[in-house]
Amino acid sequence: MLTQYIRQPAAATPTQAGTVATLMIEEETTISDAPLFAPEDFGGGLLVLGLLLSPKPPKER
Amino acid sequence: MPFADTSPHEDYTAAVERVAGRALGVLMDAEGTVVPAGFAPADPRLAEPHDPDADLPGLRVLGSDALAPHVLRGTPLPTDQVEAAARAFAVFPPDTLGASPETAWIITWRDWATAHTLTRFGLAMDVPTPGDGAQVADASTWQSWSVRMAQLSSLALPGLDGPIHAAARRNAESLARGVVRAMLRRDYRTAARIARWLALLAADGVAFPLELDPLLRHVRLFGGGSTRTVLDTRIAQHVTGLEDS
Repeated sequence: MLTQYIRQPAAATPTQAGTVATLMIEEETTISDAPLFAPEDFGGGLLVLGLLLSPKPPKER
Repeated sequence: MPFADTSPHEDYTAAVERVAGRALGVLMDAEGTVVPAGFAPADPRLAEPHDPDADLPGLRVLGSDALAPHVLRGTPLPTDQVEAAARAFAVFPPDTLGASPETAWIITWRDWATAHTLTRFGLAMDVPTPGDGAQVADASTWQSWSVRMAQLSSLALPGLDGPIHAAARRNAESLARGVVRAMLRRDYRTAARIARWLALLAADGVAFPLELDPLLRHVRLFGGGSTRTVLDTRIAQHVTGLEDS
């Protein structure tokens, strides 16, 4: 048994204690899908925008 | 010292990495020369802190893992580290960690392992008595069971024995399945922790259908740069006597 003076620091807050518990009990990682380019539905809007901006076909007279 | 723009989780993770890096230095007999992989020296949170209490969360989280190098190498634990371990328990007492009822028993067992290890170095800690380990008695659902054992990996040290260790010895095949599952999921953190148990079983002469050495090397190379993971693989190698690889 060691005979030594042990300095007593302030106790942790509930948030700090919860963080320690989380790091102690590491859950397994979650599986995610393959990484996708986030705005992958942007292409549809781009096509519509291109159609709207394109010059109108010439009218037959 | 906490940084104003970081969360407690980030500060505490950095503290864990620092303490794990120092433990790794002791284990590899190169104290002070280990550069935590991935976090590179550019990360200021891994620099030596001015606040002597900044590493207490890391000590509390790692528990017996931080002491394992001294156990495995047979070196005495410096007095200041014994004092720091006691202060970590004073700042984060076991009954205030706020774990859910489903996981509180895991913390109780980990604290038991830390207290038991600290008694080897002359410090008696008052921690709650763990139960009979009934939570890991049934390994039929080996997927979740092996994850529970991963969370209890700090018990996988020579000199510790109890119902958790008995469950591990009874279910070596479930542990092997669990570590392969973790590898397939690329969850190297969990794989390294389960491998700690397999290393202990290998040291005890328990057979299991898995080659541990290449697995540990793979986890160390691809484990994502966590010093904590590297420490787990190195502890496993020392326990099995494969430390030259």
